[in-house]
Amino acid sequence: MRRRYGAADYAFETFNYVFLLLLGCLTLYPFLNLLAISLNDSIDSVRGGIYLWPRAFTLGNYRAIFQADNLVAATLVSLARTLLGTFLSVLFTTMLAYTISRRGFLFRKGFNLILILSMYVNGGLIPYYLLIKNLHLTNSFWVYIIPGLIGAFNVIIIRSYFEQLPEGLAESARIDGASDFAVLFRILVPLSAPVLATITLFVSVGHWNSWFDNYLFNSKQHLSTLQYELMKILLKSVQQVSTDAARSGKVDRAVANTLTPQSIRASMTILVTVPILFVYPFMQRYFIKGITVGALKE
Amino acid sequence: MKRHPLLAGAAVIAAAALALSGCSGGKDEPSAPGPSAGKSASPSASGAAAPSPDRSPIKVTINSIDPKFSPDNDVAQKLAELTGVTLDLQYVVGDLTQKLDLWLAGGDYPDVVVMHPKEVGKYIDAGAVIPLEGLIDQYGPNIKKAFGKYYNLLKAQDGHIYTLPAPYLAEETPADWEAPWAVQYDVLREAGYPQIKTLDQLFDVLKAYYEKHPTIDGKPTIPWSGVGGADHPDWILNNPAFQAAGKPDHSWFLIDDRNNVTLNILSEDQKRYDKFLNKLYLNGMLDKEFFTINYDEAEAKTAQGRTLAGSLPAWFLKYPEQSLREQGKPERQFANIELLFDENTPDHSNTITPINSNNNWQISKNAKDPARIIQYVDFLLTDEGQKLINWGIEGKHYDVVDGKRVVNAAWKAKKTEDPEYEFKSGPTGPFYWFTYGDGAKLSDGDYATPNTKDYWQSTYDDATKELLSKYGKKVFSEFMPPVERVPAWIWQLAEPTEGRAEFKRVQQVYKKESPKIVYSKTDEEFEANWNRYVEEIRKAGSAKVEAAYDRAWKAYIDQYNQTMGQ
Repeated sequence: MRRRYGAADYAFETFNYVFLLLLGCLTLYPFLNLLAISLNDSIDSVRGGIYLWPRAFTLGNYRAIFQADNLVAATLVSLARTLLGTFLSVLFTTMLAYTISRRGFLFRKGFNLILILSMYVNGGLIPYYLLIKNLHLTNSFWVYIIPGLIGAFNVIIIRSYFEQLPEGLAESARIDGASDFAVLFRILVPLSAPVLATITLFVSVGHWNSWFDNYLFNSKQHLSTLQYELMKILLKSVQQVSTDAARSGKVDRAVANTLTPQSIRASMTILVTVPILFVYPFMQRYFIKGITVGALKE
Repeated sequence: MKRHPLLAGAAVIAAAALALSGCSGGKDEPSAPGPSAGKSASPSASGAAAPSPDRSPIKVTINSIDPKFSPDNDVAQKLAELTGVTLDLQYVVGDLTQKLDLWLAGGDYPDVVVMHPKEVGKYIDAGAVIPLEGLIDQYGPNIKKAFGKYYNLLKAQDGHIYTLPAPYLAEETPADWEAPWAVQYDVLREAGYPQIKTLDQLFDVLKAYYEKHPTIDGKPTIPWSGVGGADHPDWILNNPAFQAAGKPDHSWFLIDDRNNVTLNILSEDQKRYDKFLNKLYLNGMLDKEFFTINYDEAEAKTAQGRTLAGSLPAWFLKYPEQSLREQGKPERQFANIELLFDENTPDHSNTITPINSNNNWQISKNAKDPARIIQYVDFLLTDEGQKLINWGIEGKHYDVVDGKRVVNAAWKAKKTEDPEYEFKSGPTGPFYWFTYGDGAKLSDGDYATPNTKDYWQSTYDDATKELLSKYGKKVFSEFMPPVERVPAWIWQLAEPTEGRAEFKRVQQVYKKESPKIVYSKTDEEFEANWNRYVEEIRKAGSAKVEAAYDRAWKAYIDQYNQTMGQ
């Protein structure tokens, strides 16, 4: 039975919406503030007071960042590693998850143990570095892809998802003569869109944001990722202050067009965040689809 | 940052690995000088014709500490032409210490490793860097000449030279140095450009201005502020205290004539400076957020033009002043002048060290031809090399007018237009490390670097020129006392491990208790608060900190005297 809407309900609804709207603004504000600062003249921002709207609009901050020589090349490297790395990583992780989710698999316990151990124990930075070096993966694009191919945590998530799918699904496919590959790719994967979308999201965001492997293993310029190059730009602006401070008291009073670290930080945050933000709505579709795609009728 | 615990673990393991590699390196050590001596001998055979050194093209890898450096600008190309050496830059973006550890573990450091003196110990222990004294004897006459009587300071404790710091041949205060106290131009103008020598004199001037102008542009005037006390409580209280006492910058410490080290924050100087801030507070002249704003907020506040004065060093004022000029308020810029507690105290606050030891060069055992690197550095330290790395190429970056070097006008204009251009074309790069230093002169009697009074004067705006002319000065550095040489600054020494926890506690107490002292309502309260603060700091273990630094400093001075005596 539906209750009639009374004044109290309207009041509550209104309050609710206003409250949620404010909460939404609160979470959005830091981002909008950065956007405003990134679109505001750098020197003008120094005196503060920029909230949601730029005071002296300019695209100069972005222009200056894109002036860096190899930013385009670095973007391509980042894009390549994100696309290729995410695809391969999700593929391999799924296959491993499938294998260890099969009850009949002989070394199931052993593999699980190894995976879980790798989440808690690791060799440490220097042994890891030596390992990669001895595998001749340093100064190579593949160091972005291969070491991160299997994420133990992701394997466990997918495995658990596979395990809670009805056993009958795989069984009936087998009776129809499906191989393991057919069972995985034609039966289980289409049913697992939600979990695969989640993992894809994790992995792609990780790839896109990663700069540490670049810092550790690749010193060749043409292998630089976007994040690494942006880090360099930020350091440039900060170092300008510190080296000048050490070496000489005051920077040339005549020099114009300088960018403050604050503006660079803001513009970079926007640059880095926005592309990955676009991934979310696409994934969202699969979340919903994955849930509504029917399962087994019993 | 969920990575942190992992990294911390990694660091522990890294340390262990280093210790191991250090041990194994130690075993190799006796043999290390052997091969390197052999190395130095063999090129000498090939390049035996000393008058014409080997100029065949050679690539030397080097880690670049500055991401701005361009590998092939005009000066780098010219150097390659003159010496045959091209530097192949490996940029390290991020934590250099970690990268150095990784390189050391993997043995794949570049030919020239640039690092801070604090890092070099592990490289020496592991035998990763080679002794250079033999090579310098053979190929580095100008290196010896540049360091002169300080040459022995290059030696490590085992008597070998592993490290190439930069000489520091300045004879006068570099033209762009400025005293740490800032006063707004307009305040000085309205007071009729008085000679201000002490904090109390400045106080009177500020008070008069503040009473006349309680607001600026409709907002309350802030007669005294700082560089952001939340992040750097030492910059707003500790540093100004020793500066006003006319003492050199040893960060948290004072060092007396007999090399005894004490904490500045327990000194009479600190008390006196706190008292001065207290006076400002009682007159309503101290920034209400003096202790609570951070660096960025302080910058923003200063850029609004409402701050009249403070302990605001020139490096802090860079962006705020730029902003003020852009807002069309040049009269709100700051004059950096020298101030003391007492007019008659001798002023020793302006100091330099005998050598510049920071981003030092080391030659690793990966270098195929270390002799060529030494020859390269030797060339940089000649007059010709200095002109090239400091001034650039004649006709392009500088001209000679009436026998004096001046910055080329077209080049300067381009540099002003695009700050990046300096790196793409000009005399900047890793080689710049070996500058004689601003304020030094070459054998022709002219300055070694373009950082001269004439140059800086030419960059000033009208308001600045007018202000300086009222004081009969060309540049702000003329407000500073004459520069003096100290053996080192204590903050350059390796931090003693002993008393580290106590030092942290002392700093915490200092940060917590200082505001209470400054915000005392009466003299009695001030005394009581100060006494309690001293007591708490002593309780936090200040004696241990002082003892540890005292030992470290005395050990350094002993070594210094010994080396210099040799």
